[in-house]
Amino acid sequence: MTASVLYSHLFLDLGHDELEPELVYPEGDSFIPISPLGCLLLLAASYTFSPTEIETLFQSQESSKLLKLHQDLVAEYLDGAALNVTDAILLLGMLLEPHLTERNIPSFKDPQNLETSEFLEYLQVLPSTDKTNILANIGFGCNMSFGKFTTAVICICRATSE
Amino acid sequence: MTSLTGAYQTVFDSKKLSALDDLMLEFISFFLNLYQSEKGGEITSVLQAVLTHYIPIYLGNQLLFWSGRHWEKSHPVFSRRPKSEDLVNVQLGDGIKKYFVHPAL
Repeated sequence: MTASVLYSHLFLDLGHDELEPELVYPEGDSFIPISPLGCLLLLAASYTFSPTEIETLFQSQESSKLLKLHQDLVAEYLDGAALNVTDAILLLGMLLEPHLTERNIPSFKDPQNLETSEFLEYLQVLPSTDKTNILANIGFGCNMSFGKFTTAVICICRATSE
Repeated sequence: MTSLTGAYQTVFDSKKLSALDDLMLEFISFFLNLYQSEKGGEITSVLQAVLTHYIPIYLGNQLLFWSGRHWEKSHPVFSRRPKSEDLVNVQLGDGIKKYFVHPAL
């Protein structure tokens, strides 16, 4: 399966809605849909064998769509995920990060802003009154996954120091 | 696939797990040959579905540390810290590579 096929199946295809749930795998054996988690793991693994294929794929996508895709992956699969699924999500975040621009990152001037809080939730930053703790969490997340998000950290530092 | 999932959950012997994986590879190869001879699109979608359901079973909860290995390509690793590649089951990585021999699928 090519990277583009795997990429297009990262979320469950609801095209078999007309089938009774008990006929669809794993409940039944009349239809077996493509597994999104399998696609996610294969896409991450494919980078080891064919890095240029993923790079080409990401270059052909708009940066906002790439970020949205990764946010959806985090929201959909991270909770209770197997270690290798978490690893795959983290790797894809690192791979798409060079394709993002500063326009993709919300302003942190207003911490109460919905867009800002959603973005912090995406970065797995838990609500806390301890600013040091927030910054430590964000710094860890950025260093681990998104170099360009350093901009976001700087913005938060400014916002919290004002 | 259900039987295979059950087997992976109950078998812990590496040789037996390897035999299960060989069985799966044989299944994929057999139907792929059938696809190549009959040009059946339906078989392709079934194979894609089977393959994508199998990979999470095959990997289980074992890490291949893709993110760590990628990170270390562009960042220094402290001398006393083991490299990510040394912490993973290389055979598992080689195993998953077997499923990339048919890019047309």
